[in-house]
Amino acid sequence: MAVQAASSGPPTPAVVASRRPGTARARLRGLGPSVVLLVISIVLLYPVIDAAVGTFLTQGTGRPTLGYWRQAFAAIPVFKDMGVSALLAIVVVAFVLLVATPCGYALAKLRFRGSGVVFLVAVACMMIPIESILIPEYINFVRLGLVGTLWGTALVYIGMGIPFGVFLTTNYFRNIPDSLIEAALVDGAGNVAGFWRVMLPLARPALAIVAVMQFLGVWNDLLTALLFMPQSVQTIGVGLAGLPGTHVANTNALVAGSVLSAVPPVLVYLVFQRYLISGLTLGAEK
Amino acid sequence: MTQPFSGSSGAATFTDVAAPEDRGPAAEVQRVPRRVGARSGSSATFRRRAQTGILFALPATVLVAGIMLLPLFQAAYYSFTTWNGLTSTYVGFSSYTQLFFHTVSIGQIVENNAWVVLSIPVGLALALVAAFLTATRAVGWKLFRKLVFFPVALSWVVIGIVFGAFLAQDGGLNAVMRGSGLARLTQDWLGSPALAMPALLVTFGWAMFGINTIIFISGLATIPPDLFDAARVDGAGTFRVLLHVVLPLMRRFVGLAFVVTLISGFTGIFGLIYVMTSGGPGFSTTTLEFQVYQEAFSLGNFGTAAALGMVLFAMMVVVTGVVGVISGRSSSI
Amino acid sequence: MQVTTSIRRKGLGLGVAVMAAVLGLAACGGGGSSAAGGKTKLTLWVDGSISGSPEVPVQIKTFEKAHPGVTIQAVIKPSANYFATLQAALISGKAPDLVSLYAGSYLNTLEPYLVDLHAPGDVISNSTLNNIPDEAVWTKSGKVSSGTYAIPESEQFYNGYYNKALFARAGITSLPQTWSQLYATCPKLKAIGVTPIVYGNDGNGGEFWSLAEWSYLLAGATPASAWNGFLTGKLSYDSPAMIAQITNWAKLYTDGCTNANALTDANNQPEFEHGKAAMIIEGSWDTPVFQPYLKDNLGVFEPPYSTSGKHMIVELAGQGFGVTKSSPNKAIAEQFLASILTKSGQTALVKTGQIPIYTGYPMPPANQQLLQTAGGAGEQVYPMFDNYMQQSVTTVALKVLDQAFVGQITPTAALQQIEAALQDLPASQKSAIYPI
Repeated sequence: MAVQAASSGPPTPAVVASRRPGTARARLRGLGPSVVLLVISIVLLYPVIDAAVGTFLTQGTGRPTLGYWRQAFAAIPVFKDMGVSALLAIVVVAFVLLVATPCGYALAKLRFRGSGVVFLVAVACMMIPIESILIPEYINFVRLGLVGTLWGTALVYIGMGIPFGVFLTTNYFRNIPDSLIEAALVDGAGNVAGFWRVMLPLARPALAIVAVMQFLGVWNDLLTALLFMPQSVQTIGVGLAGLPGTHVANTNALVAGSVLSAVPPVLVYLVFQRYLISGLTLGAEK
Repeated sequence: MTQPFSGSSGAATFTDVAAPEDRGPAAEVQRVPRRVGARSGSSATFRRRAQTGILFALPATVLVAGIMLLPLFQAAYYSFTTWNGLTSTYVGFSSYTQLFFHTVSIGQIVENNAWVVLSIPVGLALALVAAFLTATRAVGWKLFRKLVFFPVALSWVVIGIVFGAFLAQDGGLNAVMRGSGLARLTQDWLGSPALAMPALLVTFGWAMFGINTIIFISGLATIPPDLFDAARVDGAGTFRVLLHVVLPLMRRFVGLAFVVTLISGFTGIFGLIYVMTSGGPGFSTTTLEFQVYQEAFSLGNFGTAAALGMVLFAMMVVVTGVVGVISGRSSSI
Repeated sequence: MQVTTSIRRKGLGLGVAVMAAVLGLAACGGGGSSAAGGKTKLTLWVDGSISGSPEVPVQIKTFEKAHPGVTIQAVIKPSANYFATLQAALISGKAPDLVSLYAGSYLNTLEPYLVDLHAPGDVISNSTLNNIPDEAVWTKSGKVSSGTYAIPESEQFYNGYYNKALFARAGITSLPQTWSQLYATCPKLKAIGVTPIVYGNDGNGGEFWSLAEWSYLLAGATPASAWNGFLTGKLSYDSPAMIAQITNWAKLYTDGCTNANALTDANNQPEFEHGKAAMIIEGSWDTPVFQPYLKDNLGVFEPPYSTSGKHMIVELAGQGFGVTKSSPNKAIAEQFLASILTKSGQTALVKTGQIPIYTGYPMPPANQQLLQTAGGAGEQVYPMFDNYMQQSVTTVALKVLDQAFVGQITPTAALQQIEAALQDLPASQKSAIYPI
């Protein structure tokens, strides 16, 4: 069972390998693995489907009803709130990627004094419990006049998201051999635009994960949005939290709204999920 | 809950240079860039690289310093005072001593946090198995990869509500048990001091499973399948392949997934507790983070809350450091 | 090449999305600063949801009609983080003019930010304040003259509800007045197939909220005039009398008088509403909740948590409103508060099924019965004790009382923990502020 070095020639991820005739067959050692995946899928989805289906049934009697969904839509402007969340999330994701990716590259490849410290600080910042800094943050932002503005809220999220983005991209760039980057740079990246054109495809898995996770983080957040958003608009997270939830009947409305609210992040994930296994070989997808 | 979960980098571990066709976008020859001399390593180049490096890192550093570090130091300052938001009195370390020696059941609270940490490897092992099975391209692997994220997309509050109902006396879990002849085992899971924490941890593991699996899928994709074939040729069974070939190569990703789950275990699990058990019965599901919330927002006691927050932060840094050492990466966590 | 084009396209698409989002943010953002010429705009924060306070929009509309040029915007803040959000706003000076508040000792931390409505030169006359029942007003130390920081719009009681029809069917002809009489009702109710007393968390997650019964448990052990001893430490929570009380209370569970999942039942209210349980002990805010289901069968009773048959009922303030010190419109805000106490304001409240501050309004029979009981001869009305307990003691009590009830810990252990929490406090937090 010696671990052999990769053979010479272009690397072939499993994706490509499965195209080779005979390999696919060999990999299908019975349907055992598929059964396991199926069981796991059921465990993952059953409680959620159970609850989602429950939102269509009257509490206590089990009769089908649209009442809870109507309640949810009557209580808050569901689609408007989701629009606000989407707006916020897109801006935050864009800025986090914009700021964190070059930083990750710099920390990984461009040696400068203090780069190690910057990286450690970024990692440590990922672990700061938000509740601890939210009140001082709020006061600072009030003094800057940023509270009650969408840009202020976005700024808080961006600040909170950069450490993770830096952490991920740095690790990612560290794994890419210097020679590869040199070659790509020589070919056409003498300036900022070029840098992006080259780095973007190389860093796709990292960027994909950051984009998906950051989108989700903003989408589902409550406390920051509650404190920093203007009175006139609210995110879907805040909106759902405002649904009356003291009575069991109303919990169904909340679950209904939340299940609906989970759809956009899932869609975002579906768009990006194939980049998770992409990398230095492009186009050899699926 | 705004902190995104950390994920892996799908980096490859190539030992040779990729062929020219595999490099990035089309190699359009443009005007010769200034960096062509990079390989020569002149000191001017190093200086320029360092300058570029600082430039690239500057926006991120400035933003993080202002938005994360500054309030952290402010909170640290307040942890040495009693601060109700309006007035503050310097009290030295008394918030910390009050925390460690006078908080009711501080032992139980810390023990709960320990259980969270201990439960993480179990979840990681399951995720690794799932990722491995996906990598073998078993029938349905693409669908599985799409589905695995769905629990991740739900907010902690909703997961709490769903599982709170699922684990109730008249909930889904007990129904399943009755249906499969395990009626003797049915109970009020969240109402039992001994079982509430395990039930909570299972819920937490369920929620984090998708992320960890995705991390590992990304990681496994970087392992050349020739290794799998080579191992098989040697006569190794699947399990031994997993243990002796895959795991060592995945060490970095395991470490990454551990940190991600750890951070959520210290920060995100709050939402679950809030909705499912409010820290009870008694203190059996109260974690340090939940206690922070109660101190700060229920009691208006920001000084103590800030102190608790500092302790939480320190605990996470320490555990992460230990994990970093174990996973053998000294230069990065 | 193919790859480049597809990246370019994706890049372009992404770029467009981002641009749209950025422009969108700029368009929607930037909040609403009110200063429109001529009109005064006030903001009122409502805790929870409008459906929980349906009288507020009515009161606002009435006030706006009477005061043209003034608009009040009611802003709902989710209950879950109401206090946190409010405190953050107060700290930063971005607080609303009016805030809704619920009774509780947490209000003591808000005191520095709220206007004293009893101060001289104040819009609300002192005679008006003096006419509000003592328990209902939120004051600095139990007396209106010591500083009044919020006025209530409604009164509440902690009480039990029972299903009259089920009691009749079970052959229970009089309300239980002592522990033993309460135990005696259980077999009769179980015989007709219903849960005697249902406990649960009202769908709120966590365990059932025991503070509604706490004052009654204390009252059965010692008279309210002595309760200051519980605040100063002179009286011990783990005295034999208290241990006996909690033991009697836990006997309800062991006797099978309650549902087995008393700690976490999320359906306790629906079970009562649909006649599956005969009794439930919560508070008068539930009257509008239960009334539509039980209609004329809705009865009220005082938890008979004593061996001697003492008559006691616990009263508390309902939702109240205060004016923040940072408000630029204090006078008008106070006028709004005053309007809540007028006939129209109180009528709007009564329509929602709550109990008004003043008498003389038509009410659902259940609420009427509560007021009658409270006014009855030999009846003692106590303010809720948990309003005055120190917060850290309350937190412990909330956790251990449930456990003692279902037998997870002994009554002695539970009371010892509460006592320990009290002893742990510094002397500055042990003041005798209970007003009886």
